[in-house]
Amino acid sequence: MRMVDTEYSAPRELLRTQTLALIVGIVGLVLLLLGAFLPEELLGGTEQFWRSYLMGWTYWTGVALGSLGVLMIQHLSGGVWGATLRRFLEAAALTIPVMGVLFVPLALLGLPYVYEWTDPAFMRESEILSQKTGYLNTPFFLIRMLAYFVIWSVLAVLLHRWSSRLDRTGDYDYASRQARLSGPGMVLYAITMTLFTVDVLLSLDAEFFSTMWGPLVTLSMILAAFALMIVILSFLTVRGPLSQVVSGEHFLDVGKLLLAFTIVWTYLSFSQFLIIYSGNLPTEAQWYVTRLQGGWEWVGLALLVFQFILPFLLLLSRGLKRDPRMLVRVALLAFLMQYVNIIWLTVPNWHRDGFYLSWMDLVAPIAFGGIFLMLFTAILRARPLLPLHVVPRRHPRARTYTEAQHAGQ
Amino acid sequence: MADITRTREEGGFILEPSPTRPGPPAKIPLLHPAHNYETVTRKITSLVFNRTPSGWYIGMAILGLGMMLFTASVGYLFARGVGIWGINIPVAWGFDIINFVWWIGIGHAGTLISAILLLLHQEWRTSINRIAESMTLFAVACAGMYPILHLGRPWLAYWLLPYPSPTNLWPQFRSPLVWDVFAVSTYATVSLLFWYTGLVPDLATMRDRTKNRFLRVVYGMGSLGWRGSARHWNNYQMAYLLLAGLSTPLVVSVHSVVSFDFAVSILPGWHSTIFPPYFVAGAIFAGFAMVLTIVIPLRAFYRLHDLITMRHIDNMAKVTLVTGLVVAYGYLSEIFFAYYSGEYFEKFFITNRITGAYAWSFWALILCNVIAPQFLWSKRVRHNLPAVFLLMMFVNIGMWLERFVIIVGSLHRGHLPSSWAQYAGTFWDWSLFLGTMALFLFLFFLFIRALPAIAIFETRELIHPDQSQTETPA
Amino acid sequence: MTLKLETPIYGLLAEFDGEHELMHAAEQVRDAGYRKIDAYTPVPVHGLSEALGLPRSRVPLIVLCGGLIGGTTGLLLQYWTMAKAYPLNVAGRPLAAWPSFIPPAFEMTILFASFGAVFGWILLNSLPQPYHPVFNVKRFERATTDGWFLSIEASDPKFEYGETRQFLASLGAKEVSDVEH
Repeated sequence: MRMVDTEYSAPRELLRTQTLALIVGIVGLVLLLLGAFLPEELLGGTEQFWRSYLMGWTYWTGVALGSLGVLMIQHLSGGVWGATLRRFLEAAALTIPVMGVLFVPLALLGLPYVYEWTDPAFMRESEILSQKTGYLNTPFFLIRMLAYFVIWSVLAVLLHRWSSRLDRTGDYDYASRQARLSGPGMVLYAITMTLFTVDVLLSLDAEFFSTMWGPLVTLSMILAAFALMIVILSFLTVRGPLSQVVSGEHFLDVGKLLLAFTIVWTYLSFSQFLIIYSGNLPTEAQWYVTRLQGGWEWVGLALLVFQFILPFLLLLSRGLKRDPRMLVRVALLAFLMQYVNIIWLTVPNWHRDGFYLSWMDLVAPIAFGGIFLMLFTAILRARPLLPLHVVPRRHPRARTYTEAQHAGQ
Repeated sequence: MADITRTREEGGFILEPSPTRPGPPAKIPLLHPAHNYETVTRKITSLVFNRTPSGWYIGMAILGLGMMLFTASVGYLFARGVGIWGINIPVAWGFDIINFVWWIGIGHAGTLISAILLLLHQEWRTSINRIAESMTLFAVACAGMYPILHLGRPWLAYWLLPYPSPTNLWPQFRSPLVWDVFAVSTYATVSLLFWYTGLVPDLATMRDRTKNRFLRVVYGMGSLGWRGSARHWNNYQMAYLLLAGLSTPLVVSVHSVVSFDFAVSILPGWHSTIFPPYFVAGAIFAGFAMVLTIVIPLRAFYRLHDLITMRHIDNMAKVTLVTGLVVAYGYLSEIFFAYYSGEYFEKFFITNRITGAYAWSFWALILCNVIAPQFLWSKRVRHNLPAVFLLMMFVNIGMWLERFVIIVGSLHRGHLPSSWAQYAGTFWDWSLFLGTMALFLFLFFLFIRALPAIAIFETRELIHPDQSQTETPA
Repeated sequence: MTLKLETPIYGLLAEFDGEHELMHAAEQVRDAGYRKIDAYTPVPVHGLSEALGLPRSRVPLIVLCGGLIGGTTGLLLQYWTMAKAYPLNVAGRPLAAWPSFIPPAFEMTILFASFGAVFGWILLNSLPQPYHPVFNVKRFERATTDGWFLSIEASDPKFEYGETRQFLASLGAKEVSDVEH
């Protein structure tokens, strides 16, 4: 069965979402800017501004980057489970160039407030740190960041463009081009993501290093992206045009993948912790020691409970995974917990004595979220919500969401 | 097993070709379309019921010599102790741990194929899963022997287990070596149970088709009296699916624990947080290489082209390529972080690895594990059996070298320069290694002649009337 | 103890052409009110348990219990031996080093859960059972290759030899055989 193109076109509500997101983004940014001029008693200040800026930016750039990763994995693995998500992933990945531009203010003005290694005197103080200046210095950092964003932007633009051309022409060659690019693309992605996560997050603590860092933080970003895509898919299924197409089987599939990502995230996190805990070497152990006292241990515990135990137990249920209205709650939890993860990775570097959180740390993700979602919906609205030549074939026994509703389930 | 191996099309998507342009290339079917239930069953059981081919006897004769070498090596070790090996301070772990990790890594592909690919609905696992699972068992048997033989007094191996002894001593559970005991023994047990569970309905088939009364009784006992009743299948399928679900985290945890043996210590080159996933990927890499090493000759010898198609070979080669890239990422990441860390010891160890006394092993490793698999990007190479076989031999050697580089390369230049020394395996190191290879193949030869080497009932499902109706009209 | 046989034969066994015929017959037999029925197939058939009215498998429950027992035992064993029975300072690590206890406890969980799955399916199926009356039917050896069978036991309250036999034949059975004890 071949669907008519218009059946997949984006609903009008998305325009409202786009406007709303833009308003939220602007209001959020204005609040953040105001915060920059507030005194420290009100948890504001320039330093706080740039730190919150980095947190919010990293969170949403992570979503865009995670989407690019999932998109390429999906092209390589055959695209069975991902076809419903493909347009969302493409739209999210295409925000990468703009997210890169949003880093420019921080790169030009904010680095000294965020990264201790920007101060040459600080780096000379310690034997180990003085060894690292060859890599950790501002010019090289900026060159690297530029390189990453150029590479990712090229990948995202090409995948997006070929997908549009596949829609227009139905030429299978574009599909195989996407797959052919994704192989080497993933290799580049793995290398650039490792370096990017090291540069942006690991280097906040100039002394600490862990070979697991790249895979672990990249997976966190993929997890956040995937969870958000499930939220969007559920939204467009329950209230939008996809209810005619998407069945419980799709949600079961993406739910299983969310479970898999959750388990792998825990596995990587625990492995890193256990190795550092057992080795107990000063340069590494201090990273965890800071995070396991002064109130930070509760953040860690929250991550354990709400990023692993609770979603894990819930996602074991087959019924829950099949029901978009239930699955969306777990996905939303996973998505929000990834911001707690960002807090856990960043803030203790600046506040080693104990728990500290400014209201600006919570406004920043909302501000950047508004900007991201505005871009995302604008890109998404321009094309049908499903790739046209990757047409859903329903299993005889699978019922679409609409049919299941009529059957009273 | 409609519940377990769901077809790709259920809730899935296909790429619909435009009427005027060429569509996606047709996929090779997983089973020759002329097959039906009877022919599939006859073909697979004939591997056991037909007259023993003379090649089998020749192979067994050679392997018998290998088994003698194995027995002699173990016997001499028992008589003289581990001094006959090349190990000493600082390289107190040599061939024994290298070969242990090598063998257990090889075993992991069996579990991956049987469990993870089942959960992922990859139907191509069907005709190779039994071979791969058997390979797991035999590889784990070879692997499990090494830590015990390395004990010095192997007859006291039961001290490793927690049991109330008169001395009130207990294993030291904060040590990864004790975790290893739990991990490897659990892995061996669960692999055996999984393998046997998969075998039961096929043993019933063997029972019902043999004309020999003695074999009928033997297979009958093995099949537990399986009748293929709906009640049987009901519990069976649920258990099989759950076992697959349990084996998947198990296989990951086992090789992670093996990596903890190294990573939890503080030796540069060992203490690296990437080790768990990087070891797991390496294990899958080595395992798939070994499956291909076995399957390619077996397929030619028994003419199994209709059951093990080029699509199987192609898929396995792709998995090898992907895991090979992950392993390469691990090597790169260690080099990068050694320099990034700014720590003297980290830099020293990596420089020593690349340019030191054992630099040859590192560069050979790069050749075997990083450069050689890159040829698998090409579809032409993946469809050329001699080329795939050759590349897999590179990988087999490369994965052995990887453990050599990690273990010997790190130990021989520890934190204490006064105890630096070189290491080389002795005759007995090599003889035992060759002996375990003979043992592995010996068990495999016995398996091929005694049990159905391909899962019969699961292969039948590929011609299931339901599925043939929903098959993609590629 | 001598086996007391309440019925002259064990029951009737009908062979069908294929999966769909068997599935159809199973539904008819169930709807006709027979309860002591079973089907024998060379491959698992999706929906056949429902057609026969079989309950859901209880294997998952056994696996869950096994896993919980294994995990708890693993943790308690390690805590007791390390912190209580033989407290020994190793490299200054805490006696109850919980992170280090996770790997063995995890393996124990998997081990016991797997025991639950394997012994669960074997015992719930009343296996091992080397002898069963249906083996007396010569054709039954095809059940593990390409035969599709349906059996009704004589001890079923609705069982009437002639009537039941005819009923099975009317459902399209290729052949209906008596199953001796």
